[in-house]
Amino acid sequence: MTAKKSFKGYEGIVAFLIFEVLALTTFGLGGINIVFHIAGFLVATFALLTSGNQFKKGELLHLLVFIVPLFIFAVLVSLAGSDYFEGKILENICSLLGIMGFFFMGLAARRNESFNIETALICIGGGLALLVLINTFATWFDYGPFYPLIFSSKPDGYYRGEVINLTKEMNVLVGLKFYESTISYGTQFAVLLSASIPALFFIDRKKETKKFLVVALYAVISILAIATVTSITGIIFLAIVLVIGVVYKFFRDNDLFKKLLKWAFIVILGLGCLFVILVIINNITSTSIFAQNAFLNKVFNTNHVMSKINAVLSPAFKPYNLFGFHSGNIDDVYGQTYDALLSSSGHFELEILKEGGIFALISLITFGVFSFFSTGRYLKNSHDNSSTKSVLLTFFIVFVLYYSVAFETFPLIHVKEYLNSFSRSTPFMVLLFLVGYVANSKKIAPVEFEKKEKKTKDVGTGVSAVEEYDFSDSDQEEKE
Amino acid sequence: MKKIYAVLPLLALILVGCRKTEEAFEAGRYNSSDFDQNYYVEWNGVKELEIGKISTISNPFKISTGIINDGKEYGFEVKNLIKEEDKFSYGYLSKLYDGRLRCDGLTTRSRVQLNKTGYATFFPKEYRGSESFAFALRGGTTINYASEEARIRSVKIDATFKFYIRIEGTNTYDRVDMVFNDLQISSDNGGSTTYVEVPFDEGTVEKINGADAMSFEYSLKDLSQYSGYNITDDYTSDPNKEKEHFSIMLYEILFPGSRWY
Repeated sequence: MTAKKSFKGYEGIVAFLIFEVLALTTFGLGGINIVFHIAGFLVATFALLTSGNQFKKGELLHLLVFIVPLFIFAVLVSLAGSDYFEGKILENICSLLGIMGFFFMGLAARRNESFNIETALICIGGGLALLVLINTFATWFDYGPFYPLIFSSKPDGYYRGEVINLTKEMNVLVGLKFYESTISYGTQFAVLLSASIPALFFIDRKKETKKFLVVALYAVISILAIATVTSITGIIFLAIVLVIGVVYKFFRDNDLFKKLLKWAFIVILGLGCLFVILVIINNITSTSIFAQNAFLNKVFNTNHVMSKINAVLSPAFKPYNLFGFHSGNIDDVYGQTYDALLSSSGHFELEILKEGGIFALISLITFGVFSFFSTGRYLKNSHDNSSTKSVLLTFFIVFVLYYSVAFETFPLIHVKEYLNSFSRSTPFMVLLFLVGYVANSKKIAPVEFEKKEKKTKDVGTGVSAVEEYDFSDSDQEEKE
Repeated sequence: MKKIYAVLPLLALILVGCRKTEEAFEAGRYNSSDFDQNYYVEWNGVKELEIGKISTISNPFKISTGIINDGKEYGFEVKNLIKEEDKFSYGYLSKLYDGRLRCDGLTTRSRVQLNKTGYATFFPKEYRGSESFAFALRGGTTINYASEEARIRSVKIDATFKFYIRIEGTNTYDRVDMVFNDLQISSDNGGSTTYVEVPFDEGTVEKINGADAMSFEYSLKDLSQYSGYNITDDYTSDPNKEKEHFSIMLYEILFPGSRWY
């Protein structure tokens, strides 16, 4: 009896375990991410054993475009030995297993007959909502609601004899204890939870009352949490979430809008790439190429944002930092690497440089590019309903944008040594699961089960999901 | 209606909360270049306590005093209260619990400047005994610091620490006054700070066991000895600043080996 056959019939249990792992992982418990890495890997193994036979012939080969870059990324951030993780052998191995495990769990989940993405999203939302609610109540208890506004003229407090700014901190649950964190770290969970808001545009309030109420509850919790700590970044992201919801609801079938969006995206991406190339050139040359021009010098060197970016990019291309930052090298005369390791860059991309080096970042970008196109195909072809698709799309966008502008490496205000590693964080694990779920290749569609064809009419478009799905057509379009 | 009741505990939680923001200051408070702006005169509700029995420990005779000059003898690694109980970490008075026993160049940032009316505070937990009680302080005046011969390098004060012990089952507090008469302390003398330690025997510990709050008051002794200076230890009595003002710079309160519940 083969392993696959011996595990056949356990799909229901596996689906249940996936829901459990997702709920617990999103709730998280701060510093014990290692537990979730192990749990994710074990459940992924079990899931692959039960659903492995659902992969189409040659499908896994096509999925290598995801697996190979992700594996290189995982090896580099886990085992290359950046100073952050030096000597933590067990933790490093678990990180590798966790990264691959959550992605494979997503792949296997889509091919599990008992798995339901809506339930999974409810579990993820539940874990996040619980964490957000606990953090919000704890913050209200210590600071009161809207304290950044109320105490804007009296912001000073004292901690261990030193002046602190009370309006720039909030309470978060880490492990089994509350700590004071930066507001952008504490708000991240509420921002991710707000990705549930667009689903409200698509759920029929009368036909699916329970689902509507649950999602509405998630939305209320996220809005309340962001509003009462008066996080400006959080409020901007709420606006972004609403825009995504409106666009996906009303403009997704508008050809003119799609064309405009496509060109806007290409232009922004082009300008972004040009800017990144200039920034990199500026940092790999011995002296700044923009130093002679006052305006360019201001743009590329002497401003608050760029000085943080340059502090990490400057040592990132040194030979000893290509596979993660290693301080103490004899060539690192000014201790730039050490300073960069101790700084909070604010951008997850730069954190990847520190954790795994330039090749880890390139691998993750490669993985991201394939995931981007894969998500496009999923949105176009999948049988999943529009509310699910809107949540997944919003989650992906919000995740990448938020961590690109507000990632906190050392988020605890009074415990300076607490490291919030991006590659080991629980939100990243959840993202990998969801990317694994939507991952598909251009040539081979994932298995869609018959039960899915019995879907009710799509509330958002009024077109049945089965009618909407036509993979061969889309394939033809892509060839054209 | 029942649903409204369900929300009440949450509202109560919010109303009784705000622990960290109940003591919030405008930026730069107590850190002014104007001497008179830096006085901490809060009694934090201790003055309103209903007092029952009062007992006194006068001039605890095993006092050991030391002048802290270089930070080695009583440095930053002392058994400060924050190390012994994390709840002492919060609030303005955490300056008194952080182990910085002397002027460390941060001037107003490491000390609490006190008028003769002193200050009072509730402890974050109940005191349940310690090996000793100690404090580090010095005097400070408005006398021109630059004129070397004009400095008052040492002063004599009467100081009283009061401990408030709640009588179980009531809202009344017994008070134990620890009085230090004619305590010679360092004043405007570079970074010199006076450290006073009172070893506790079982009897003393028993007397203040269960203390929930403490206060500190003082008065400057023998004002006539500072010839040439019209000096006062009560800045409030001299709003036009016709006299030189004296204050106590309190750096640290310690209960080495303490237990808190």
